[in-house]
Amino acid sequence: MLNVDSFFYDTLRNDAELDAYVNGRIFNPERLEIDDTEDKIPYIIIKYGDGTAENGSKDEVFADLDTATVHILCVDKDREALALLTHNVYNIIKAAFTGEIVTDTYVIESITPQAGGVELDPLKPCCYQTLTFRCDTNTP
Amino acid sequence: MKGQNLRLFFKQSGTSGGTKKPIAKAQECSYDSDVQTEDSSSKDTTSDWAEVDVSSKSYTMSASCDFDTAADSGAWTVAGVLALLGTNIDFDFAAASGDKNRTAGTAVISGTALITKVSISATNRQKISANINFIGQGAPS
Repeated sequence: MLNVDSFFYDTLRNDAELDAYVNGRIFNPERLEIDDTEDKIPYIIIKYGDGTAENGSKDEVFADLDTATVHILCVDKDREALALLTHNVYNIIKAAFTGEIVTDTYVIESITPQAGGVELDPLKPCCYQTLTFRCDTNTP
Repeated sequence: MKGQNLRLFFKQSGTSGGTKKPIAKAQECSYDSDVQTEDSSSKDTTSDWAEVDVSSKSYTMSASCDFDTAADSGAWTVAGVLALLGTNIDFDFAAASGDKNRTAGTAVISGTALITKVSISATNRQKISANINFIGQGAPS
């Protein structure tokens, strides 16, 4: 549904070690303006990508948004640090999703991860990569 | 008219008073009619073109749906259809409307058919699907 990104945001914010490493710079859906100006790294941005109704049936005149995509952008000082950060983010989410997640407003039935390419900003310098999580959801 | 709004409604033949119901979480339904022919050309035929006679007519139907174990009084579940395998059903291919698109409107095609096959497929990371095949009994109307 429309706010499955909150699961990812809450999960990462609640990991004390990760939160300390990025000094609280875990944002949803964008960085705070002051951080954008000062451009401190490392940081993580969680963003709701899109939602689609892929599995509607003849029972549904108004189909449910049953597939949602969440993007997690990880930024760190170099490739080695970025690798550790993305592995950490991936493992924290994987550990938190032990099965169906049921909340008041959505149910995440399954998650399929995907990793984007690693990019370099030579001017900063920093490396960044986006992890994408496709969530199969259902309204509770 | 979109495919969303055409559904297969049916009930078990011989169940007086029963109402025709659609298949729960139906994805697709189709109707195919066919004519079997035999060559009727003879030495009296002067043209190069073939001439045929109709020997018989037949029709088949198929339907697919999402598989679900939840009970559903307003539609046929896969378990319910499975119990009808090998039995006749009275059907309407009809426009659908209303709550969950389950209210039948004017029938496009009606008749009696035999449920010949029910199959269930569970692919990793995809919804479980079920397919149902029917063969017509007699002429449709």
